[in-house]
Amino acid sequence: MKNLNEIIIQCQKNNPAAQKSLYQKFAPWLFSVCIQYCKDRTEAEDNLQEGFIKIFNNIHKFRFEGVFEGWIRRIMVNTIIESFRKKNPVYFVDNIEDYNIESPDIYNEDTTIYDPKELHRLIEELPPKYKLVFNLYALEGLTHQEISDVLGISTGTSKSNLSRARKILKDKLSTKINRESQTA
Amino acid sequence: MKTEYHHIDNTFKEGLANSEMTPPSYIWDSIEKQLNTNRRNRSVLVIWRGISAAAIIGFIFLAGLFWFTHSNNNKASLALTNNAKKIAISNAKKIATNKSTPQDKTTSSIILNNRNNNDNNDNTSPYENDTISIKSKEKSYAKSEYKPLINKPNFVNTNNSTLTKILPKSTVKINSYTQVNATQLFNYRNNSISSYAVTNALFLSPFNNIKEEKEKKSLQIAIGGQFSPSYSYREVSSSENYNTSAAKESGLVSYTGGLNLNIKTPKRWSFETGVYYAQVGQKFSNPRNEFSGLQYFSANLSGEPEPITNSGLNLNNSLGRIKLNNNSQKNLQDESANYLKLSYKTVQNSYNTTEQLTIQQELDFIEIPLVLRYDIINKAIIFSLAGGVSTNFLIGNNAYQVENNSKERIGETENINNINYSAVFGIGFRTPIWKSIEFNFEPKIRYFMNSVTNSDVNKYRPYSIGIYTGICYRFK
Repeated sequence: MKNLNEIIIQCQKNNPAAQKSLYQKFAPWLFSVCIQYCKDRTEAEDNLQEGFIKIFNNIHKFRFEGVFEGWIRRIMVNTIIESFRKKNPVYFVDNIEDYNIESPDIYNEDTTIYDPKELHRLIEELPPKYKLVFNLYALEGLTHQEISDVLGISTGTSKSNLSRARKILKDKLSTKINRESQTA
Repeated sequence: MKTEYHHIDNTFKEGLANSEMTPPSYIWDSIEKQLNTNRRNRSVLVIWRGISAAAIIGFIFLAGLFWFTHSNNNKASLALTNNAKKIAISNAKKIATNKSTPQDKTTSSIILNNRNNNDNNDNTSPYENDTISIKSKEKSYAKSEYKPLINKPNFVNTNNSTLTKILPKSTVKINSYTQVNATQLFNYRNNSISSYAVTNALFLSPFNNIKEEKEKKSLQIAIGGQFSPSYSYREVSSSENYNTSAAKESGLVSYTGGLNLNIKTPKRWSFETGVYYAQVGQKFSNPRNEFSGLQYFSANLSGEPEPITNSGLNLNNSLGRIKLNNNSQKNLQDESANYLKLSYKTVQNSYNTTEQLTIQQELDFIEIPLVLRYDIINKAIIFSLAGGVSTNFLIGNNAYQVENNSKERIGETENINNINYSAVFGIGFRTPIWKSIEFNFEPKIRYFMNSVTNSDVNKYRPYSIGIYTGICYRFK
């Protein structure tokens, strides 16, 4: 199998076989990313398709500086957010801004390894605006200022949404652990 | 007690880092279909651009040519040859001598105008009460305007002039100004940009970590000129009853040249068109041989010698019958008659004396080629193969009598098609010589796919060979 750089170079030359190889290599991972962000599977499939079209149309801009996986992930997340903005232009704005300061978590020595599917399910169950902020902060590593610039919300709203998302997820994880310990 | 703000974050981040889910197969089918459509659209776009460019160039050239030929009735083809050469040569000269002008080293003016606050959406105006300092850049001066000190002993400044004279070119003009808070202004502008970016679905860092650089164009366009001496001759076929070969026929040496447009794809393929002037034709000679007092050999030597008839001269040849203009018919008849009288008188002394009547037939065309080129070797010197078709529009049809290195127009060849089609094939070499300028060298052969005559009994297909050289400018 050709190495990744060769595949990228061939994709830059519009080689159909190379494009298919690239899709087969990264589609499962990027589909997982889409599932994390989107409200359902159908929306995730649409975003995956659109994201890959953008990747192939812009792959000639990739100069082999930095990690390719990071580059295509950014394109995919951008596509998802753009799709959200088109469908829900006033999606991200909270009418009531809550300036609660996050309460720090007590250090938890819990070392449970969670099934990725379970984690996916928990994120999917979050309200859309909490899910988006949580994904951008926790999974993509953006700061609140950057999230507010990207989504057009205030940093207070970003912090508030993140705090609420964390609380919901933590409660659900705790409930799950308690249930498992009881059954055990 | 340790506290960790992001334990829950890490749980999800690490848990989902390598998570994969197989998408349905129909997603790739949709993507593939879209990519194929994009590829087809790009090809069609290239072809349409080429055709549009050729049409525009052809239209402009024909319009100019129409005006030109109407103002010059005689020797139109010869004049056009010179013009085409001039266009090619002057174009080459322009490209070769194009030099960038030296940069002006002086600074630009700093002008502060009264700002307009109409676009300020905030209620708070940054333009309040505070002062701003205006710093002008240091002035720099053109070297030519700097006159050095002259060390002259016992210098006497009789005119009260200074030894050095510095003439600034830049000025600092302050028309008017308002007091502003620079920090507030900076933040205000920065927020405006952020709002614009968000409302227009543009994303700031970290999604724009990739350095901004000039987007590389996928297609490259080059415009240039070419010139070539050419040799043309023909392939003929005629019916049994029509035998028109002259005593001696030969090809024609002439010139061709024009402008071309090359559109290069990211791959090795490129598409070319342009507007060229081309000339094909032939030369034939017939002996003015004495035979009997009232006879002479006409161009048709394969048949019986024909007597001079009152209806005129017979100058048929493989290209076609020559229609003489009135003056030429009379002159040629008189010439032949005089020659016959002379030769009749000296028949006993010089029975085998022969003189040649040499006729040169020229057909001038404007050629619009559509050529596909493939770069086989793409190194310092690019070696390519090219092939395509051309549409040839007849713009000149002349027959000349050639005598003692001078030629005189005697008429035109009959039954020549106004539009003809030719195939062209070439082997090209090109190399960059300076920045975006390339030199090219290309032997080419052109073969007419249809007979240039519309006669049913006589088919004449010219071909020509040329060694084209030229230069072009490639836009990057």
